[in-house]
Amino acid sequence: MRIMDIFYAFPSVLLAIAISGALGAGVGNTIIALSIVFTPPITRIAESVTTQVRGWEFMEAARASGAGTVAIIRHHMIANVLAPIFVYASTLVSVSVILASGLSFLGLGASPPHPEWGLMLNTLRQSIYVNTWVPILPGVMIFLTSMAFNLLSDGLRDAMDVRL
Amino acid sequence: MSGSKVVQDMEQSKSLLTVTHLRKYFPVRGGLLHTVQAHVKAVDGVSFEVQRGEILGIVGESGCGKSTLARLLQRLIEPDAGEIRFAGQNTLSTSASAFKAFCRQVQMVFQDPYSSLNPRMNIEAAVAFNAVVHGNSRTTARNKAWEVLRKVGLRPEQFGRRYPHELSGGQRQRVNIARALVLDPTLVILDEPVSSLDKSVQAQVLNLLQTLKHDLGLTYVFISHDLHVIEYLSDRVLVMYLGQIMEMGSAAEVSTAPLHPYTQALFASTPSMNPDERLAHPPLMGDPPNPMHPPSGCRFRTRCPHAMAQCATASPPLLQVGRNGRYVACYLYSDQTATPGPPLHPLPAAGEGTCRMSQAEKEA
Repeated sequence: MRIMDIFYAFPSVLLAIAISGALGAGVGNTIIALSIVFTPPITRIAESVTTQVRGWEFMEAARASGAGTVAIIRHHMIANVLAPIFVYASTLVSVSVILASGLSFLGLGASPPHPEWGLMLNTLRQSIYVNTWVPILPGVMIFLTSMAFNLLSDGLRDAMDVRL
Repeated sequence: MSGSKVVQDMEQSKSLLTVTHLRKYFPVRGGLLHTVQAHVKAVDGVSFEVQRGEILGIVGESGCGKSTLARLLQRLIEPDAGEIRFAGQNTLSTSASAFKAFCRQVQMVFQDPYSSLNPRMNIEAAVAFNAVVHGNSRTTARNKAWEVLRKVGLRPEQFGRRYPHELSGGQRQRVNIARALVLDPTLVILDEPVSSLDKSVQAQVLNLLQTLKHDLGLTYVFISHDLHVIEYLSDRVLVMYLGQIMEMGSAAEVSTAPLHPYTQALFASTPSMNPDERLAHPPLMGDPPNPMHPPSGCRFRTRCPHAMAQCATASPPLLQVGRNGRYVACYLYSDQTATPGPPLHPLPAAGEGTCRMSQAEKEA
């Protein structure tokens, strides 16, 4: 957890730039960089949710039933812990989309011949004076995609909450 | 002595649960190095017995160690010292299979009906889980769950597939009771099962508990801070204060003629339904002392109207008064037991309030 805190201390964009800068450009390296950047927040959520669930009385009731640790984790813990993690992870998808296109824009992410919106933004930057729509379109697509993922995560949260 | 010894032996065989010198201190950590600063003496030298088929009520104000005691009895936490014997067997052996067998016999109903049920498990699954853990197949477990849900007055066809958030507090508490009963236990520990329900539902649940006890031949340890509830339900009452037993005796005697000044104050402070009997001022002032630093000698002496010099020096032992299994830990009654002055036996610092019966056992 302390090691995660060290990673958490860096601003996520800077950390992503540093890692993919060190690893070099490429789709695979972008994925690695983003995974490293988003592991600490997921770990945080997992830890705090687990601590919270562990404190609920039904965990004590499960132990009083004589169930072993594995059975308690399988039947009582997993579903309660995974749901919030899953919802949080889905919000990170939209952040990752923006961050990944940012990396490509800087030349640290996908490189030609891979098609990438961030890359397009960068290469089409010059043509903004010729035809405004050409560089705007990839930006709009990035916006729409991340927006769509945000809405999806809202939907997931509602779907996974048993109380609703 | 020999005659009373025989009686004691008979009582011994009748008793289902025997607790001796039970002690649990919780360390309080703090400071720069996260060191142990003090101990909260939650349960401090408690000894009592539960007879087969009775309802033992444990009463005391908040923070007196009632819930800790319940958790110790269910073995959810391990005591620091002392012994718990269930049906003659020491329950503190550590093997996992022994604990599982113990869980079939002793079950607990928890206080909070809201957090004591898994929100992602439907009622049927929650009740059946206990049966599955103990080696029943899914279908038998489900059948058992349905059967016990019927017993607690919830129609399984209607409620089985519902989730806890769809039920009211009283219904949830019925599910909790069903979950405890699905394994056919002998002893059920009820940790304030009705304290978060409103009065009309309380009465329903209490009556249900009584019916179930009758039908299934159960023994209850009933923990509550509500004297009306304790009086209504229990056969014997045990009064706790700051982790120690102050008084113990039959419910009728303790409620009509409380001996210990604390019990007297406790019963005097219950509100009466008669407006002419309003209390002018509370019988006890102040709060219980900090359990980290309990007063020397008798724990109650700081709030006791009868406190004497003797009370500050040593804690009064829990001694039998009269013949009806009435025990009091107070120097006001020590002359009646023909053992005046300091306690009979120099006990280890931990186990102070103790029954005379266990002393007799030691001598034997």
